[in-house]
This record gives sequence, structure tokens and C-alpha cells, in this order.
Amino acid sequence: MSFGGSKLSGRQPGERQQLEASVKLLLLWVAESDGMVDAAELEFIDNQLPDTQRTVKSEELLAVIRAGDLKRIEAAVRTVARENRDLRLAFIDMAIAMCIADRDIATTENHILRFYADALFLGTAILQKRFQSISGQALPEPADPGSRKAYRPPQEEPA
Amino acid sequence: MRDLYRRLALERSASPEEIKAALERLPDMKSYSAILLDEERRAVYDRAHSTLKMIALLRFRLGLDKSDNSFIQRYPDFAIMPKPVTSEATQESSGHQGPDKTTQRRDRTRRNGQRWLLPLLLSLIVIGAIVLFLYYS
Repeated sequence: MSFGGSKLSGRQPGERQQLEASVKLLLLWVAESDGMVDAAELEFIDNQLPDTQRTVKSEELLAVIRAGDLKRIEAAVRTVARENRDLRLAFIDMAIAMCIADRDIATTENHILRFYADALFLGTAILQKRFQSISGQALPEPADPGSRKAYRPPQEEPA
Repeated sequence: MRDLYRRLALERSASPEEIKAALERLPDMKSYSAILLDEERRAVYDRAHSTLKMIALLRFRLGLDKSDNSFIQRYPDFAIMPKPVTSEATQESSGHQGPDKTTQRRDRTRRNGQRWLLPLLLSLIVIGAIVLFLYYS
């Protein structure tokens, strides 16, 4: 399985490359947001976007994210938002799969998913439906790391 | 989520000593120590803090700060205050639109342009015909 596949056929190489680079950047933001990008996440992205392995390196895009380069991220969001509904849904499905691949969805991933759903003109209802169908559970409300309640009391933490 | 650094008037890079000093000055916020003075919790909080800051700015730039999923209503600490409007900023922040709306706008602009073209051509033809008629008669 790879992103777009036949849906991207017939595109000009430059246009296709720009779209794939944008998708890769946005997926890497999801992967990076919980503090670590693991090998399984990178492999998932490479499988989805095989051509980008030679056109745009993950390390370069991770540097963009870690530097907080909002212009690049905004441009990527706008690029994906211009696509047809099928591709935008395919993107959201991949982002959901990334979020649940390693463990439960992290707070940061949850917020990013919700942002993508809005920015890609899909909305909450569609996001919840896709999340339910892919993960088998309802999309939780994001936890609040600014509250003590979000953390386990020290005595309950494993030694 | 509260912006604990903003409330304590600290930079995110503040040292534990600076946090302790700020908490002493602001005893109402003593509960923040459970998060900011615990290395592991602070790392979790800092990740969420930087992600929410980025999302808040992106939502603001894309005009999505009032949508269903926006956390700005729930977390007003992360609200972005609009700067005075400049022509560059207007151009930059305006118009996060999907494919259909962009196409619609382009078509509408084109149609508005064409609306003036037809009467102009007809007027020129009529004037030309009158001039020719008068010349030859």
C-alpha cells in the first residue's frame, strides 16, 4: 500500500513531488510530536511514500519541524488542502495510523490530528468516524498536561 | 491546558531555580511545581506546550482559530493576539481555501470581467455601423 497510488498517476513530476514532500512533512510532525520518532514510524512513512526516500530526506524535514518552521508546515497544509477529498481522506487515514501505531494516541498527536481535520476541510465528525474505523475505539478528548491529574501519582509509578 | 510559563512570566528555558523563585513570588500557583519541577513531567508538558503553540499559530494564520476542534476557547492562554493589519499580512493570512472555493472565486472573477466585455463590444459595433452609415450616405 502506498499513498495515492493510481490517484497520483498522471500528475506532473514536480507537482507530485511537492505533494509527497508535504505529506511526508505533516506525517513526520505527528511522529515527532510525542518526543521520539521510532524506526517503525519512519518505515511506515517510507512504505507509504517510497519515492520520497530519494527526493526528500526525513532528517531534513525533521529539522524543519524541530526548528518550528511554521511557514513550511503551513505551506504543506495548504498543498494537501488543495487536493481532492479522496486524497485528503487518504492522508487523514495515514495520520491516524501513525498515531496509533506505537501505542495509545498521545495528547500532541490528538491535537495535530484535530488540526489536520479542520485544515483539510474534513471536520470532527469525519475524523471521529475514521478514527473509530481504523483503531476500533473512539477518538479520546486530549489530556491536559498542564494539570496534575494528567500524571500518575509518584507512588503508583513503577520502580 | 494552561500556559504555565506565561502565567509565571518565565521563558520556557527557565531553570528549576528560576521556577522555584517565581513560585515563591506567586503562591497561588504553587501547584505548578508538581509539573514544572518534575523533570519527566516537565518534558511531557514542554512537548505539549510547543505543539500547542505551533498549532495555535497555524490555526490563526489559516483562519481556523474558531473551528470545532480549536482548543483556543478551552485554553485561552494559547490565543494569538492579532497584529495591526498590513497589506502583506492580509495577503499572507487570507484565504485558506479548498479546491472548490478557489476555483469558484477564479471563475467568478473571470465572469465579472466578461460581463463588461460584451456590452463594450456591442457598443463599438453599433457606433462603427452608425459612422459607416453616415459616411456613405
